[in-house]
Amino acid sequence: MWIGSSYLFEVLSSASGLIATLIVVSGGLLLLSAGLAAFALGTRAWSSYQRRAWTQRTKNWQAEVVKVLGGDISPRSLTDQVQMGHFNSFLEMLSPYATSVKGREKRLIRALADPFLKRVEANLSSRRPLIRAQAVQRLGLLGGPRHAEPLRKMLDDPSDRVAGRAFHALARIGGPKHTERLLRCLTRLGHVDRRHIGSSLFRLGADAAPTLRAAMADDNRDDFERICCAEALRELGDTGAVAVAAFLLDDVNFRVRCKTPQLTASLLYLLMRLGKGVHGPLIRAYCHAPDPTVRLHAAQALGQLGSSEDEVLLGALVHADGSQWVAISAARSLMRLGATAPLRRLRTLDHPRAQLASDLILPSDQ
Amino acid sequence: MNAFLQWTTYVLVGYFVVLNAGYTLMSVFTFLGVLRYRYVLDAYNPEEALTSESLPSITLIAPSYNEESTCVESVRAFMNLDYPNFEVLVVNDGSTDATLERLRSTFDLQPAPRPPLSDLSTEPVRQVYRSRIHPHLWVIDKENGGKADALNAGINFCETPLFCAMDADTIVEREGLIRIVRPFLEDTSTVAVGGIVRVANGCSIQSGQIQSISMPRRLLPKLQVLEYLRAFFFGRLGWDTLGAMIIISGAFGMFHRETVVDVGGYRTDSITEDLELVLRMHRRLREEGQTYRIRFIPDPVAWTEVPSTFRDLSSQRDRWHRGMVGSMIRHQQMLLNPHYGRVGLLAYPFFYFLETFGVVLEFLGYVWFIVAFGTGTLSGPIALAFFLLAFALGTALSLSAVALEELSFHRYEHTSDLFQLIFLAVLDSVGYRQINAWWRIKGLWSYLRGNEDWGAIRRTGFDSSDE
Repeated sequence: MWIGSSYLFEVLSSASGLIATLIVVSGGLLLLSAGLAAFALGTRAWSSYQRRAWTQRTKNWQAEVVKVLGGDISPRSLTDQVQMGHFNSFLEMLSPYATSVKGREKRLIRALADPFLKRVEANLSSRRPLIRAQAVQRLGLLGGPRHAEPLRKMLDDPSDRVAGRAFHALARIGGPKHTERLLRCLTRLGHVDRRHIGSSLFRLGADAAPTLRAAMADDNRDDFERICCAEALRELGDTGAVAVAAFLLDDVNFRVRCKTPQLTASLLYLLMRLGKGVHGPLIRAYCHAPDPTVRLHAAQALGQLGSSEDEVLLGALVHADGSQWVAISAARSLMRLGATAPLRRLRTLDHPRAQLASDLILPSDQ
Repeated sequence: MNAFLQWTTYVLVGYFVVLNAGYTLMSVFTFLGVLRYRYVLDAYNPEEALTSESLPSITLIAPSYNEESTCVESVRAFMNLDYPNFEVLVVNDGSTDATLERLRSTFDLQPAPRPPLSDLSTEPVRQVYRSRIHPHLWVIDKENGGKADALNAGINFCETPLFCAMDADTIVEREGLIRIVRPFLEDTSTVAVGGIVRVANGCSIQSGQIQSISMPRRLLPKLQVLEYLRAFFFGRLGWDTLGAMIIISGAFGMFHRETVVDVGGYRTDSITEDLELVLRMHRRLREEGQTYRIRFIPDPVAWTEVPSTFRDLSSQRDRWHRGMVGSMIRHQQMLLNPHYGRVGLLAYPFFYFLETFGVVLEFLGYVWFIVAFGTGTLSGPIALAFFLLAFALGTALSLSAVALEELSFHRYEHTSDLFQLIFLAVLDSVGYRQINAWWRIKGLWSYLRGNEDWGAIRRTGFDSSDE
């Protein structure tokens, strides 16, 4: 090593050695540059050729897909035309249809994809997580109930990314019988946006509601799991969940044990969307909760379910709540209830929130 | 004297070697990042995401100052974005031209009630308007306070958990929002995401959307196409692969609102408020021991008009470098500090020593090269060989950016554009890079003199930006 370094030093110290080294390195770099330029041009030529071929194939396929959807030809007569080597392009072409059609058309699109999904399934055992994730995504989009089982297994994939994709895919095609298994997977998806999870659970349909309700009520479950259930039930418009949410919010044990304000907020949000005026008193109690997120949701819910009785409470929140967000929600709820008198009074006072009241009530509204 | 020259040579050659080794390493990381990202993209379907019932709502905040030629086009582009629930807040930062008038007449703006939700300090807001044509379009008219001040005003009025900061003269592709929101959905610890910014000069634009993409006709914007490719691939994707992203372009980035408010919003005394904000977020979140992610992803694309004259480009680069120096000095506590993880140990030293202050050595290198060659200290053959090496390195790096573009997104579909890019990669190392070094030296000098001038750049509008 030392001999090598001293030799290199000697070479670089002599002018001719230095020049030769610089020229050799530069030559290498110029060769590399030429290689990169050739690579760019080659890639361009190859991708242009592929794109042309893809465009032509897609055009033909799309025309046939329309015939299949119109019932003029059977799915088989189109799938027979697709060479196995082109199956990826074919599935790619089908993807936009899969997201935009429903019912009979959706079944036809699945029938078109079906002969090629075996190849996609094979990728579920790839060593590379990104390839497994891609396969899971494809199966979720184009597969049918038959693919639920392989997707269910992928919920245990060592990669969180793959498990996450499998969660969404299974929720899309699996149906309500997989609800419990999906909920069990949520412990490892705590990093995913809860609305994103809730939206996937929503796809399970109304038949999943009883399981979701039970999970929401179960205080042995993780709070994140319960929040996602509340979000999904709200999206489902499940009126049966209202009683469960009201019971929980009224329960002293829940108030003591609940460590996540977001869970309380989600239950209040559910009540706001699906509850009735009778829940007003329950919601009022949360207007004094220590967490601003909870107070904000309570104030919003009162705007929806409250009455003129809540004018004083909401007015107090506008005046004195420590959070500007809560104050604004309360002010908007007052306006929704048609009780703008507290805001009109506030804007005439020398008060830090007077500007807020002015901002909400335009001069023309006076 | 000889010893001095010898040591100067060592320092300059050392800088040259370290800088180019850094760039080479970044190009390797970028290459890996691009390969990996192709699979990420394959597994994400924007159409499928758009069918989701509960995508988070987003606010687009577009500060606008004297943008009468582009503001209507830009707002139309914003309103045409594919996303189910978003608002557009255009902040008219006390424009002295007809920006507000054009917006008011085109979109039928009317005064509307809307209180601020946070109290980041800004210049007074004169009026809040809402469009009667597009109910999701709001315009906040305020006293002039600069871009950062306008962004802060927009944040104050933002009611959604995420906001997208952008320039009013930026055109975001239709799928831009649904793509840039992905990291926030997949990981709730994500607090900021940057998208790629490309050069709009030369492209044909209709109804606020890019209709066809082609290279600009003028040389200076052409050179910037290549420069942007290098900057966004190596300076962003490479660092994202390493988990140490410190730059999110002010032209197109999405942020978690509460995090930005918690760190105090944009600093109005910084000229490069975008870089300063991201550095401050890293610093504060690390100091508070929070788990967070700041990402760059290359598939959400925004197009922007770049300067097409030397005067405008010089002014822009002067400002960028001045701002970079200020931000780097302000947060130099992170420099080589293990407490700040990869940002403190890798990204910060790279940008601090090589990109920010290294320009002095780069410029001295050019001067030394000429002086040494002129005085005969450097023999002709050695000078030529060294020049050849620098040229070959620069060309190889630029061509690797072109190759990566072809491998990943190949947005310039005309083959003649690709030939131009290859030719520009050769041209870039001779002349343009040296002029850039001079502009950055000027920026450094301006910073030392305390110059805080924004340096207005003349906007000609997308339709005529390349004429």
